[in-house]
Amino acid sequence: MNKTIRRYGWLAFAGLIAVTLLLPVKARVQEGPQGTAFMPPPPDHQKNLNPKLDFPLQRMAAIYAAEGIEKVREYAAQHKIEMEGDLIRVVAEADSGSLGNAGLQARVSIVSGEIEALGGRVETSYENLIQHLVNPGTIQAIARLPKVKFLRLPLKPFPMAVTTEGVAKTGADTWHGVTAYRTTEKAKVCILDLGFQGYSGLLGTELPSSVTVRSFRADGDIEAGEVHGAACAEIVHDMAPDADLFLVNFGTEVEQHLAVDWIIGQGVKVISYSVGWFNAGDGKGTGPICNDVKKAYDAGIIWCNSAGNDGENHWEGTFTDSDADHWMNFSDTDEHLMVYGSECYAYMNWDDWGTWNGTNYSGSNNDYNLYLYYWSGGTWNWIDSSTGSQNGNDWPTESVGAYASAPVYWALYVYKSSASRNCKLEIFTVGNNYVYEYNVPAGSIDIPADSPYSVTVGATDCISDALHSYSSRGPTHDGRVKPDFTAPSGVTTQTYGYRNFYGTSASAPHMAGAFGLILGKTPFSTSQVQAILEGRGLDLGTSGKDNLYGIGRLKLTK
Amino acid sequence: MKRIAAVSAIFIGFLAVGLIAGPSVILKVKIQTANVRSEPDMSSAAIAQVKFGTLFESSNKVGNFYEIAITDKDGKTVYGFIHASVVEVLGGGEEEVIKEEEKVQKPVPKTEVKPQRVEPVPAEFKKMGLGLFVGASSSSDYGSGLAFGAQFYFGITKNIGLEVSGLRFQTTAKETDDETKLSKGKLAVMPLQLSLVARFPVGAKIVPYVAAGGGYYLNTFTLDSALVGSWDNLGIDIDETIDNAFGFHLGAGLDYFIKPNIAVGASVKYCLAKTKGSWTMKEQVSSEETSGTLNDLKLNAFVFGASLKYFF
Repeated sequence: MNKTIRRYGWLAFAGLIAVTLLLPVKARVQEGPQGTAFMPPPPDHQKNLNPKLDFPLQRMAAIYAAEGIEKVREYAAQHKIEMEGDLIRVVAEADSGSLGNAGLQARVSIVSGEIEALGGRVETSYENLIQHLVNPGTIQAIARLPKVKFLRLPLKPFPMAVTTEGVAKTGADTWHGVTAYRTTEKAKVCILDLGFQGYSGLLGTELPSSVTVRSFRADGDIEAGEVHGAACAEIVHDMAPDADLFLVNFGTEVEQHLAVDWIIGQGVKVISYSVGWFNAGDGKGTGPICNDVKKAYDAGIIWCNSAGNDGENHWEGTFTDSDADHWMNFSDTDEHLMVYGSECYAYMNWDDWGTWNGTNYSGSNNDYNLYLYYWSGGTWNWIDSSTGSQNGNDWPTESVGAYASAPVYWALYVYKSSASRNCKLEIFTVGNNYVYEYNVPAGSIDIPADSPYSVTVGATDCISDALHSYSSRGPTHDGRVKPDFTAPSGVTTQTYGYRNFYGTSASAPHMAGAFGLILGKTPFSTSQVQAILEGRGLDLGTSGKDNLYGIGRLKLTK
Repeated sequence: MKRIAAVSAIFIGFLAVGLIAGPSVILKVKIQTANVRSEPDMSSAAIAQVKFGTLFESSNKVGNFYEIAITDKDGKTVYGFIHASVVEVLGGGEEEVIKEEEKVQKPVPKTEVKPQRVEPVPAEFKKMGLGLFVGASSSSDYGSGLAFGAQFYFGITKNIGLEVSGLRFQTTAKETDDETKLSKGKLAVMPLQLSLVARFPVGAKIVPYVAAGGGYYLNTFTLDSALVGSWDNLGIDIDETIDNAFGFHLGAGLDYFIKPNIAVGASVKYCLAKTKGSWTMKEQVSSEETSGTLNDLKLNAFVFGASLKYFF
């Protein structure tokens, strides 16, 4: 076994940023291990599952009880789960029942007190969600609190790959010299991202001399060791030099909810959002993340969302088991989905989310598990499992992950544990890898790019207009065409320097900048500007709106 | 105007000649033989003799002598003087002639009489007048520009009259970020005004006046072509319109009569008018359109300048 391979791949970490596209994984390996129906027996982690805990917290609690804090740290490091010393950041879902706002606030306050009495440290809350830090030894105790409905790790956002020639390419420069007509209000454009490291050094040059900055992270760190947001802001400023920029960051979905509420209150007209989520919704535009998009839309805000960089990191299909052994057959003779790269973080969900009631899904009672193996010594070796129990009210999600010191072959296995039907499965492989076999680009739109209320933006080359292969494609799980547009990628920014800024992360701020530019020059409403840009998009690919290019590449000229 | 001036000059010329020449008289020699002398003096030489009953016409009397014209033996016309005692005045302006100054003067040949400057007739009460106006306007919101117009005056009494005028003043609205105003472009305001005029003649030539009234303002606005072009390049049409309006005005001026019926003058008028307008912006590809109204367009402006008026 490769010594650098860690056990227990699980939940990917935000720091994966961009690597999908930036790291040199493009040298494809043509030969690799052959598919096999053979399935080595994985360890059984499904015993004595606590239905009020998500799988990784159960594992961490179990590891802590059996092996101590050091092993928990090892597990967290392997899965890139952030820890604050010995503490793990978790989210408790308080049972909101039929309480009104006042009652819910009182309950959250009471539960927060109970958590702190057990040694937890409450950081922030939103509606019934209480974000706090806990020692792994108290996880089970907190989960047992009567009014804690569920305890889990926070959902984690992923900044998309980073990389502006887009100004001239889109014709935005033709607008720059025009005096605004019948409007004196500067357009407020918010870059909602994970971090803005180095932004202050860009003020007055790559960014306006003055910007509004607000962090919703628990630690209040606007830079957060992440330059991604600063690069996005550069593009928005290049496109719309007169716009007022708001740089806002967050780290979890709870913090994002708070951030969006604040942004709405600031009168922001456009949000540039180059962040994606996995296992955070049904792919039909619902879920807690998409909820924020709708909330912004209802407040009159245009939400420009990168489509995702998962065109080559995606598989989806209906569970098939031709040899009736409960293991998914990716072909008649192949029970694994092979991935190549130096890391493999895989997120699986299936079409059994139930009903979204505005705050949660009714849940799944079809139980599938996900296993990760790697190729070494002429055989497949188990490295990680995700075997959460979907027994009626759980989200239909599993995730595994691991990394290596050098690219290796990985194999994902799917096991039908207890299911009344063959569900449609979807797997994203995040990180420095690509799906070696059975890649299905269609339907690779990230969350919340699937929202009907977002302007979803794919990536075309800033020189050739060719669609970048990584650019996520539609349709959504409810059959809607996405993305809505494509916009330039591979552009030059100060932040990324010689590497250029690649990814749909670069495309979304072009779109947001276009909105900001026109809104700052004209009295058109946001919906009118959207209609104008839809009318001007440069149709690429199949005539009309399609799942690769949407309407076409962003174009501001007539 | 030149034509009017020329006709006036000729008329005045004839008038002047009439005043200088005076009336003539018919003389009849009433003695058997009378001397015609070279000078109006009994001691001067007799240059001819005329017989009883000869008739002459004289328009000049110097002392007790009438200047007459006679024909000499060579058939030439020569002038001489005959004593009043030897002639009988048969008719004409005897009284006026008699009243002429007594001192002896050299006769002035008729052919040497030249027109002299005539004092103008005071414009005390002219029933009607026509005028032209040219000047400038200064708008509080839209800058300054040229102004011109025409007017018709109808006098009711010596001091009161009505004036109907048509005016046009055009300004260039500057680029502005004030959303309540018109954008950069040309604004033309054409008030049709009725004024009550009070005139206060001072002496024979100077007539100050004040005026007040109301009117209907015909307005047009044309967006700056460069501004329109810059948006057209982006595939967007822009347009702005302005409504007509009712307005009021106050004015004052002064007419100076350079001729009995002609006056030049200076005047200032403050026009107050408020109107509405609209703007539209339409995108050419999607036909998305947005528009708005301009509810408080102020056309207030000072209009000042010079005028030339003909009264009759």
